[in-house]
Amino acid sequence: MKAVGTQAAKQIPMVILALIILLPLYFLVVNSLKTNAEFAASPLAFPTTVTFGAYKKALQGQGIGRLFLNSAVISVFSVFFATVFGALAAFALAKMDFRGRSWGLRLLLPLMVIPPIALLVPQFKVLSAAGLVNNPSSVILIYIGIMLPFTIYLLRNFFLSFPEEILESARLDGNGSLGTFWRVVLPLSGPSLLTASIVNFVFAWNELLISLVFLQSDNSRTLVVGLTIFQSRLSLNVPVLMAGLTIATIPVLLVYLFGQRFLVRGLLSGSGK
Amino acid sequence: MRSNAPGSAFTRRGFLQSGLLAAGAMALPAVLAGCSQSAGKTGQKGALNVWWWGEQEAAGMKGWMNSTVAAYNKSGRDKLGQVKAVLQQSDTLYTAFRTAAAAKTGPDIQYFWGGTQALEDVWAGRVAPLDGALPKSLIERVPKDSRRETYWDGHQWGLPFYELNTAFAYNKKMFERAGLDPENPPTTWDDFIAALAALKKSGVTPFGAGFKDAYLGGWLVSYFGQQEFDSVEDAIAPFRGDVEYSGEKYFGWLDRVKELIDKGYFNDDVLSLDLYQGQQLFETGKAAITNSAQPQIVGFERELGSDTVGVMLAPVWGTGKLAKSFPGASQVLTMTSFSHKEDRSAKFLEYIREPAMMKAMYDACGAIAPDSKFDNAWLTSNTDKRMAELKTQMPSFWFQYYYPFPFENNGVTPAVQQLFQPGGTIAAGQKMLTDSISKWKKQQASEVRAYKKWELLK
Amino acid sequence: MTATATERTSSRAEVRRPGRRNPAPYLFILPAVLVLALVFGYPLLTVIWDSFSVPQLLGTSSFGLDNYATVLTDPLFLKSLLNNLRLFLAVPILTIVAVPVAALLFERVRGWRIYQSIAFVPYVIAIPVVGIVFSYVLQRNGVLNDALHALRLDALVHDWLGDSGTAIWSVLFVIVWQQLGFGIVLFVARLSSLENSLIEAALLDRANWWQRFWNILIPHLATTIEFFFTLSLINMLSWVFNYVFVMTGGGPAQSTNVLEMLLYTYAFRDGLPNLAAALSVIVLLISLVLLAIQAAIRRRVERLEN
Repeated sequence: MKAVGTQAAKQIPMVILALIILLPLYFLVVNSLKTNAEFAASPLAFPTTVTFGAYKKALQGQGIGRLFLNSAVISVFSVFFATVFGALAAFALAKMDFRGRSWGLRLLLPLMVIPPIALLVPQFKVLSAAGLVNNPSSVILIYIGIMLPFTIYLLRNFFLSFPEEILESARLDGNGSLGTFWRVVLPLSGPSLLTASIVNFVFAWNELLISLVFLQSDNSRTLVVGLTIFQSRLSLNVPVLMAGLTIATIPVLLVYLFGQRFLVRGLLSGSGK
Repeated sequence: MRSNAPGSAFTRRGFLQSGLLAAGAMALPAVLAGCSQSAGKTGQKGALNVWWWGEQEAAGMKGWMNSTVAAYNKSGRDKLGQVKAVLQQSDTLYTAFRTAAAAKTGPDIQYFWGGTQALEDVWAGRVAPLDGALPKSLIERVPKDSRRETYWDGHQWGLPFYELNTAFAYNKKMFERAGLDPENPPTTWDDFIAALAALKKSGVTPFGAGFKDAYLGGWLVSYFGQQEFDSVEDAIAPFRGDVEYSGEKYFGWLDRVKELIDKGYFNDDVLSLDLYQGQQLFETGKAAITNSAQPQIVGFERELGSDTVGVMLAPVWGTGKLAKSFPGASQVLTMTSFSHKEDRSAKFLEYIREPAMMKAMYDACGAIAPDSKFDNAWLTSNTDKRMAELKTQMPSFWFQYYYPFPFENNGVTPAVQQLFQPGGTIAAGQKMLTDSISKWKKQQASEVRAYKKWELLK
Repeated sequence: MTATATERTSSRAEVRRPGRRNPAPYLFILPAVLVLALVFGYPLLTVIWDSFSVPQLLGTSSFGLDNYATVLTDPLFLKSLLNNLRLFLAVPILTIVAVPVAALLFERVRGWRIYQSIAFVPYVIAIPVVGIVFSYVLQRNGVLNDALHALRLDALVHDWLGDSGTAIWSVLFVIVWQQLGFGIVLFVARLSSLENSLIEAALLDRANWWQRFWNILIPHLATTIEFFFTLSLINMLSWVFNYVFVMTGGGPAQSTNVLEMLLYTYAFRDGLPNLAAALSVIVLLISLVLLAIQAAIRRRVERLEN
């Protein structure tokens, strides 16, 4: 009896937490399936008839396809390079000794505390002088920069515990540093790399201010920015707004659901010792 | 910079825009310093570039602009090249221009929101005066009240392009049900209060408003904050440093707004709703009155019927000469300072001001050109007709286009927002207003200097 | 960030004969260094330079601390700083909630897989989406207040985002709502490295849940908690702009104005880049002080662990 009691007691906080998390999401999705009149009448209830009219309206005329493509390209490229550059640097900081190493280490956290908005103006000056406004490479570059400190921090912690024996045998096999890294270390770092990639992808996909400032034209705009800008037009019709927001959320959600198995493992190896 | 232009129905976009604005403005030094581009010193030949805006607040203008430009190009009036008009995005209207201006390339004719929202670029040297190139007769066809908004340092900088007037839309049927005369809305403050009380008693929200997105403040101070002024001088005097912003003259409107709040004449969630969401209360039949830009009220009229929708001005509480003033403002077209095609620009501007073109613009999108040759007989909606009638009865003045933006941002908005909260006080509001001006003076020295040079058009 | 004794040993074992010029490490860090120099280095130098440059008449400028004085005497600066400090409260809240939840998940409470999946979902949703949805939910006449009505808790009804008294706390709630999952998953991950033998021994000793929690789980989590704590503090200082921007714009009556919002106002709304630069430097200095304190605490925690 006692065991059951404590089991129940443990469930209560979990259920409460789950409810708090799910209710706003419920609000989001449930209202995207209603008509505007129905929403006004009862914002919390299930729709009496599920309609996708809101989705149709959200998709038409906004060039959502283009917005999606832009977000996807930027997210994928920035995550890829941040992970590669970050892994290289993290490995060097973990396993190699070189002049300036400790300085590099000490810089990581301070770099993470700089609010992105603080550097936006000088970044804009430089990149617009280079003619890169409305060019996705400007945003990709800045994202990589922002993601690097955290990626390096995370991966370095993982690499620190990477078994020496494996590195030794790789070297004995005649591998140089790059070879060791490429052929031996990377393949065994799956979960950490994936974790870093997921966290970075979430950041890149959801980022607002930087892509707003640098990608102003219709062609180059990203999804999250497009939706925020169109909010005023859409939000007279709440279901359409909710539909738009849901559409923007689905890709990230999929990435997470797919990669969540590795998330725990990756964080395990990458966080504090 | 701010989409606080009355009628521009953005919400958070305003903030986004301002972000882009200054981002563009920031590009200036870097580009000037590092750019080896030769200045866009094109000769008189080539395309005449017009960067404009307006479709967003007067739907249909794009069609008119395109056909007008096509006709102009075909007419051969401009032997040196074609006109190219590009509709700008709301959020990049100012940034795109300022970025281009920094490299001395860009449009020959540039659109701005009116008043101080255009003068900022004038003060920064990006705009050329019109009175050199445009014939005096054309400029003088524009009503003085409209011209005054962009008249500075002895020159006319902006050509008022179309009127953007604001007013209150009211529900005639609700008025009737509350025992009020649907054709004669209140004009004095006491009558206004009585009407609101009657509406409240009849079970509706008297006034629907939303203030979460910070736009409403500028409207309220422009409806009520000028009513103790005797002239436009009173509006800019505190910013010039001639007088203190204090006393009943400058603070009286706060008490009026508080009276409305205290008596419960607004909806109870004003701070939860954005501007357009407040207006939506009128549209969906929950509120009897709301404030709106004229084109929107025309829209309400079309949507709900002219037997339901009426238009009225803000009631008069003050005793200054400007107490009874028409809430008229205009958006402007300007010639850029790096253009060197002034004569051609002038010719094009004259063309769009020909009566046939002005009529076409009104028919296409309801935008009214502030010009003596615009014939009021062309007006079609009751709202437009009534507003035109009211305009002839009093001077036009829109306070928002005369004060510097930080005054609204740091002063008006927080001052009024705290009034909407329980525990809000007039004293706190007054302090916020005066503090915002001291702060502006301290932080924006160059703008203060520009104000000192601002001799109003008489 | 100082390496522990064990770290130093392991890396020294790997050291390629010290003294011999080996280009390899430099090549490894080169791409990252280049990007960081471009994205952080140069802009940072520009910002620092600009912060000392005080615009004067006719486009000239002088050098001095005037910008710093102007910023520090701006009443909005103090107001914004206080708002960030209020948001700091989110950090202990996050930690106090995340740790026990992680413990429960680690102990495989029934349904733990589902709970764990759900926990992280808020984190992956875009802040604008979260902000817009909560803006609707928290409206004066929105669903939260409707629910409170239905539960006869009318006394609790507020204009959550529209009342200066509650606005900043509502923003805090949304931030916690979203960031909690990250902490939970982080702690669960760390707990999974706990050796089973310790738990078994505790169970043999008839230790109850609380005793296991305090004597085994918490010590094991110590450094991770400290890491999460630091990261969250950094977040509350430098990474909350999007929340405020989307939900309140800094209002009502500037009651949710945070330092980043002030930066935005200086740089973008008022066209005062030099003030923005000075404020940026001030924020950085505050952060560095925080980090220094964190490092000191970390050293003490590590000594406890060992």
